[in-house]
Amino acid sequence: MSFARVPVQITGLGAISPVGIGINEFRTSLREGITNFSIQEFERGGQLFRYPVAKVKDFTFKEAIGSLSINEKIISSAKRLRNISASTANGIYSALEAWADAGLHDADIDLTKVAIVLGGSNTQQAMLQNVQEEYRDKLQFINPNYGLNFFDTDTSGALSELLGIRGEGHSIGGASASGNFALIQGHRLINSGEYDVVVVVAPLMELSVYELQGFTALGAMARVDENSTPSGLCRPFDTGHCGFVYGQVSGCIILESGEHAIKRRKKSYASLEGYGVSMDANRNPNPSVEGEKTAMLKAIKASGIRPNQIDYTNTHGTASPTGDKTEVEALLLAGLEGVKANSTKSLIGHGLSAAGLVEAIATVIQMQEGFLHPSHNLQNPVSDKIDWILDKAQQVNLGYALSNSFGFGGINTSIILKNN
Amino acid sequence: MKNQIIGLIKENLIEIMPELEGQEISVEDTLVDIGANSIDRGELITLTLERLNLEVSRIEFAKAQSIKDLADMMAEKMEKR
Repeated sequence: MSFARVPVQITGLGAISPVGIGINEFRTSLREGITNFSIQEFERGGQLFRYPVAKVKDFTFKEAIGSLSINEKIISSAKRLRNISASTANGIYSALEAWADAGLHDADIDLTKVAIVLGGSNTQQAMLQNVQEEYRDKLQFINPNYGLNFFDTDTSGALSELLGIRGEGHSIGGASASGNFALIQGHRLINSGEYDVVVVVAPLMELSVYELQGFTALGAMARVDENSTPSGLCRPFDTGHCGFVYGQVSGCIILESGEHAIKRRKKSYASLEGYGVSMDANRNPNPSVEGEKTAMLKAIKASGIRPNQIDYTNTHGTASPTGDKTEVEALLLAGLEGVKANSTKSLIGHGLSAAGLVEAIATVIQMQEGFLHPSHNLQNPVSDKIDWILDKAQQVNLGYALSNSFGFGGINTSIILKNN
Repeated sequence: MKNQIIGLIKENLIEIMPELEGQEISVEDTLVDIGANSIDRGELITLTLERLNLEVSRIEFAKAQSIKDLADMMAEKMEKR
């Protein structure tokens, strides 16, 4: 599928990442190439398990919510939320920041024509695992809220209550492409004419030790050994790449129909011009050059442009040796030789189901500010046919950008953003 | 015992419904009047039972309307234990 004509506008942004709470901190950190990698340890069965991570620091839900420029009633209701996972808390902060940024908290809009799309499934693993361990031997006392809150849609339920949203709300899962898929779904909802505004939220994918070990066992995640420095492990497109590093990110993009934004005189940051998706007919984690190329070309075609009009590619770039190699080959086959590119994951790690959405935000920020952020640890690029942004940010005027997100199970997604 | 249970129920209720903090809560008021929905009610009962380490099915409290009703029933179960 690929489709685009009516320009869908981006009118609000919100994000939390390991390098900052809120868009202002994210913007500064991207420009300066700041990172925040560490090692997380777990003890299980008398053995020590160590994983590289990029964790959110200094996030206290109530404090952060209190600092938002949004009306007092929403803030006090949000502060009263209980039994929410870190996944939901991070998602709600991002969504409220974006809602306020879009000026929707004091706009007179039809809330039956607002939808919520969550990017990601199984995003609350750490919370679920904690409850399960705590109540293993006293199951009769489990909090009844568990029967409600384990659903990913706890985030959309809470958000709809806080903001009075009465359209539709659901989550969309596409493994590590979930964030892009949520944007694509939002684009479809607006183009259908059913909705004026879609709040596209990617809550934090909070992993428990089981997923961390699962990814390690699969060989997908970078391994910590005695000589590892946390900051040196995440190396997308560098010849020393050795797997992804998990990063805690969440974000929200407000998508709005062009007509609706004009009617309420809201200037947009960028437009979501088009998208392309494809599957590889493959259950496994291995990527496909053909599938990725197809997604990129569909997105470019749907946006009514040619590959040489793309000024910048925000790569999927996880630092998986096979993944990086495959993406470079696909970029070249899609006619993108020489394109400027970086990997936001090199700075903030791989947010998995939230990655695509936060990378779209990073792309919009770079377009708005006219710079491209450095790629951390990219010292010896795997290919010289791409114009990599290395250790220093570049000042560039950007018109069109391509952002890729690929997921296990042969899921390929590409979106095209246009600077406004 | 009963007064301690009433105190515990009130504490738990404020934990579950922080908006009640500082308000006068009568033990005779029904939970519905206090503003507790069915999930708040379920959480109040399981949390109190957990903190009393009292293993009784929640269904046993189906008839309880007020904090006092709950405390009476729980005190009775505690004595029988």
